Amino acid sequence: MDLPQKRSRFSEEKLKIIQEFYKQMPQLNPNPAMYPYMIAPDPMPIWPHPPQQQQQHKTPTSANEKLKNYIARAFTKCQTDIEKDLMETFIRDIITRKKNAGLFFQEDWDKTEIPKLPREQVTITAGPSLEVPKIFQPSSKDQIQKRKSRFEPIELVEDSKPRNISKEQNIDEHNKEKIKKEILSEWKIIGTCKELEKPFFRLTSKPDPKTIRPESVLKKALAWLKERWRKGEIKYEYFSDQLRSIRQDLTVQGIRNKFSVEIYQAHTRLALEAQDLDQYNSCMSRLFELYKEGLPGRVTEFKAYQIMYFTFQHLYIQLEKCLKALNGVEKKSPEIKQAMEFKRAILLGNYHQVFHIRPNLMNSGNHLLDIFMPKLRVLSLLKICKAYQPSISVDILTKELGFNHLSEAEAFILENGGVIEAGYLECRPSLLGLRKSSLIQTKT
Amino acid sequence: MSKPTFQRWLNECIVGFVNYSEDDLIRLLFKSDIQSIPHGSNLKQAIETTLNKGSSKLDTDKAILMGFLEEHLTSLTKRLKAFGHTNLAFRNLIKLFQEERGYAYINVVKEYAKKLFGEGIKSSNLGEIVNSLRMFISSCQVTRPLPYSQVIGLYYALNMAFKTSFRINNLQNFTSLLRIVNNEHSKLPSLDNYPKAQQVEFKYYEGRFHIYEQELNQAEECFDFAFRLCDKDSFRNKRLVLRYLIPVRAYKGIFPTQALLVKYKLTDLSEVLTSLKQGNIELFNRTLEANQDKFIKQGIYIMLESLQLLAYRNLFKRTQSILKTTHVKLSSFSTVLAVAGVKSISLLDVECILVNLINKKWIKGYISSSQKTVVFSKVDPFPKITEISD
Repeated sequence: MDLPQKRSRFSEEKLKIIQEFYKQMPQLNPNPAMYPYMIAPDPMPIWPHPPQQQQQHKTPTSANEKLKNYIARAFTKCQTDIEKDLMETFIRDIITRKKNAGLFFQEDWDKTEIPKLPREQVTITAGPSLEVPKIFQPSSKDQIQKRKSRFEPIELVEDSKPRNISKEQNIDEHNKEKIKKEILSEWKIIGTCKELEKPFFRLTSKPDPKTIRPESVLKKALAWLKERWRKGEIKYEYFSDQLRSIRQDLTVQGIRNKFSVEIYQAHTRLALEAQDLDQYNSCMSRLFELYKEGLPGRVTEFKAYQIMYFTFQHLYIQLEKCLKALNGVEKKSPEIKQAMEFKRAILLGNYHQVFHIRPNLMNSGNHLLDIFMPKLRVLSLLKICKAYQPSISVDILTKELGFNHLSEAEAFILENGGVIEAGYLECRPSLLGLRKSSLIQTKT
Repeated sequence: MSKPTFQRWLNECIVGFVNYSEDDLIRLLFKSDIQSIPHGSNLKQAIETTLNKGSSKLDTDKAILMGFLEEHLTSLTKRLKAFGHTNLAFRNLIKLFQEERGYAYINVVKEYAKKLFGEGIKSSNLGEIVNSLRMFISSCQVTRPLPYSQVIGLYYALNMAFKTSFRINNLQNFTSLLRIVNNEHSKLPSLDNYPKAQQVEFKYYEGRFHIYEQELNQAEECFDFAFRLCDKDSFRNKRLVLRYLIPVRAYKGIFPTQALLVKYKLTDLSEVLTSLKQGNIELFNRTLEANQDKFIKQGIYIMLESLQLLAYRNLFKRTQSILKTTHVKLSSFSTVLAVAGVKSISLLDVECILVNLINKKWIKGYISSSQKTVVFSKVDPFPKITEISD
């Protein structure tokens, strides 16, 4: 590198004179043994040169050009900015994968496939033109029978073993997320199955379109199942299992419309009737996702359920979230007004008000109350025993706590440790018994 | 409007409204047609349909509005990208911060955390910040002493995490985060060693958490601490703390003076509190309904609702002092309530309220259902709420 030239004190002529002068002087030759530091070091470069490029990392120019062509081809296919971004990520993925596998330089870029955009995904529709895959070629009649029996309705046994839920839940959630992402980006399935009743199996990979039902069949299936439920032919477990398979078919096909909202709403109401809180919670979360997207449905009814549920479970932070999300229009609706009255009654411990509203509760609010009613009753009995003395007639209690008959009330009180004498609840002695009642000991 | 003013208006709109959410945009643009557009639907399609319905808007307006909305939608996608990049950058910063001498980067980390929070709000993606903030917190848990270690940033990180969880309304992480600090066996330096601002913020969030867990005594302690330590001049912070401290103290029967409420501009609470003191139930219900939206936004509404019992207690105290007997008929209470204007209260309602008051030990006495009277104790039937050990 050229360093800037120094301006010397002397002109050239004078420099010459000085140099001649110094030549005449006796030259010093120090003994290197005596003065080792006088030895000049090796000549250092003025500016450090960059390290020489090793031949291994150099990409041959021919491959570079092929790569460039490949990338150019890929980008000409894209039509919008979003697709260009997608294509960029795909190509980067491919390149990193090949580099890691060590196949980068052996790759023939002219022959590699350009990654497919979502709009070009081949929609899989099973039809007569497709060949039957080799694996499923049943030969004997028995085998054909077995394959047919896949689609027949299976009655679940009632006493199923309790599963180790926590591990399975973690794995299932992980799988669910994977599958959700895959559905959004890759799959596009249109089902062909026409069975009205199909059992529920958790998906771990892409399903066969022959096992998935299209929307028209699902609507018929729902109507069919509802009829059977009304006649009393099927029980809750079977019905909810069938509903879950319907939900699965909808999500796999990416259907999100009025019908899907209907299904989720029906399933939540069913879960409330059967007092299945796990299913209720999962359904509600999905329902509200659908509502967020703007799909129509009975929003006020389900928001009212949420308000009541959160007050019962003392989840005040989520209750506030619910309240914040209410519109002005929704606040004036009768369902939510009732839910707010109900909420206030429970917050203040006003059991009289609760059971006063109870016969007027809209929709499935009754079922929600039934889940938490026994605990509420025992707690209010405790309060009554502390406040009243010496005794209170069971007649009044039947009205206050919403029992249908005196005998019901008596049975309930005696079950939970109360002491009744001649139609009167003895307050002091019942206190001990009521405190030990099992309903209060549990956390829910 | 002429062309250059069009352009100026457009540019101002784009710059000014880019931070708005879709709901607000809809409200601004189509004030009359709100209800026809379903909530949260695809903006472009919805606006196209409303424009094509044949409203009296000109073609030029159409083009402007469509261009404006395209800008808005593209900016949202750009913002998500920006958020992703800041998140990654923040995580890499924390890796630097974790090294031995990394504590010197604390100010950079703080600034970047603030930036990340802002980006999260703009792209409405706050949930993803929680994980990176947890990394920050765990990197701060170092046993080396202050100030030459990463522990400097502990309370700042905790406050950030609390802030985000309150915004998302998801308090699941709270207990675990609080346990880090409040543990007896933790070797981390105590709260006193940190600057006042961080102490105040920490106690504020801790108090709010205790309210939701219904541990009112601890909540009161936290807010009291925060209020006392708060700087004289920080009006806004004091006001925030008071907003929660006042209802919590009202549970104990301690009310603030009118001067205090006026000083801190909390006059919407003053009516509620006077109605509680007097026992004026009708006024209480009216003011709560009138200010319902405000109180829900501030997060006080549920607390104030549960204070209704206090109003009943004060009303009954007044009636008992007028009647001056220990045996008071239930019918007298119901007449009092009817006179005060409270609608549709029956004897059974009154009984229920009294049962709750006796259980809370706000009334000393018992109810005899056969004679339909309340028997108060001779000594101190309405004890001072502050003196009740609960």
